[in-house]
Amino acid sequence: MADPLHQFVITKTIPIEVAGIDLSFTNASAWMLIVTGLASLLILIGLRRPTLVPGRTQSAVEMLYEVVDDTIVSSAGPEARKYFPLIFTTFLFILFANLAGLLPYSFTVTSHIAVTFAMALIAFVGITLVGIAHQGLGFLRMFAPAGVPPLMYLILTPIEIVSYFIRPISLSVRLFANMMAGHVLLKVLAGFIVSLGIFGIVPLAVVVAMTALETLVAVLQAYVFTVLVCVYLNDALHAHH
Amino acid sequence: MFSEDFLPDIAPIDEVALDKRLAEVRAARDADAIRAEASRTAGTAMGIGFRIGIELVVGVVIGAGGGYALDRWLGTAPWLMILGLIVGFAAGLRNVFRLTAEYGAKWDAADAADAADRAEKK
Repeated sequence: MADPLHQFVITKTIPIEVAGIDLSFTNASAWMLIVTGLASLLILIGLRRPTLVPGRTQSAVEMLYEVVDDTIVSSAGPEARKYFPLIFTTFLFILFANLAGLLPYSFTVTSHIAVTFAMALIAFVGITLVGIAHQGLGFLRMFAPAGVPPLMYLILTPIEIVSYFIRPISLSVRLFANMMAGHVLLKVLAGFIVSLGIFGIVPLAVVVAMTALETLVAVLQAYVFTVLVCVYLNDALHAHH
Repeated sequence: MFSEDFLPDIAPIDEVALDKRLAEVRAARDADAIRAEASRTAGTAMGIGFRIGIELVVGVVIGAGGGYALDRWLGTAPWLMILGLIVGFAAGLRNVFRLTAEYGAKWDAADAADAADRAEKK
C-alpha cells in the first residue's frame, strides 16, 4: 500500500482476447466510462428543463459552454466554431477525468500517456487534415516562414518541421506528467503522515494544501489542453504571415 | 398614502452608523473583486507557465532521442545526436515563441494604450 506508484497499475476487470490481441476491459476503461457518464449526466441534468433564468446546474453547464466557446473564438477565430463539439467533448472529458482522479480509490485515466497521447494524436491528425483541406498545399508554407534570406531555409525548415511534429508529444506529456507527478507527490507525502506519528500533522497539512493545488492543476490542465488545440487549429485555418 | 401611525414600531435609523456599515460592505465587495481579478490573472499566468515549460524539455528529448536512433541505424554516432539536440532545442524555443507571441502582442497593445493615456494627460 505504501508504494506511491501502485495507484497507476492497470488491472483487467474483464479479460477479453480477440485473435491474440489483448482487448481486456480494464480499470482504465471502466473509469473512462464513468468519467464520460458523469460528464454526460451533468449536461443532461443541466439541460433537462432549460429556463431563461438558469438554475444552478444549468448555470454550470452554460458556464462550461461559454468558457470553451470564448477560448475557441479568441484563439482560433469564429470559423473554428465548426469544431466546437469535438473540442468541448475533449475539454469535458479531461476535466472530469482529472477531477475524478482526485477522489480516493479512483483511477486517473489522464495520468497514463497512452490515454493523453491518443487524444493528442487525434487532435494533431485532425488539425493537420483540416489545414490541408483549408489551405491545400499552401499549408506546407508554414514550414518556410516568409521574409528570411533564402539560405536560412536550410536551417529554419528542419526546425519548423520538428517543432510541428513535437506538438502532439508536448501536448500529451504535459497533461500526463502533471497528473502523474501530482498524484505521486500526494501519495508520498501521505505515506509520511503514518510513519511520523504525532509529527505526521505537518505532512497532513501539506497534503491538504497540495490537494487544493492539485484541484487547480486538474482544471488548469484541461483548459491548457483545450487552448493549445485551439491555437494549433488557428494555424491550420489561417495562413501564416 | 400611509400615515406615519401605520408604520411598524422600529428603532430610529442611525444614519451615521448605516453609512459606515455601507462603506465597509462596499469596501469588502471591491476588495473581493480585486482579489478575484488577481486570482484569475494568476490562473492564466500559471496556464502560460504550464504551456511553455514542457515545450523545451520535449524538444530537446525528442531531438536528441531521434538523432541517437538515427545514429544507431546509420552508424554516424555521435553527430546526428548532436545535430538533433540543437535542432530539437531550437524547435522547442520556436514553439515557446509561437505560444507567447500573442501575449507579447497583447502586452504591447496595453503598453501603447498606457503611453497614449499619459500623452493625453500632458
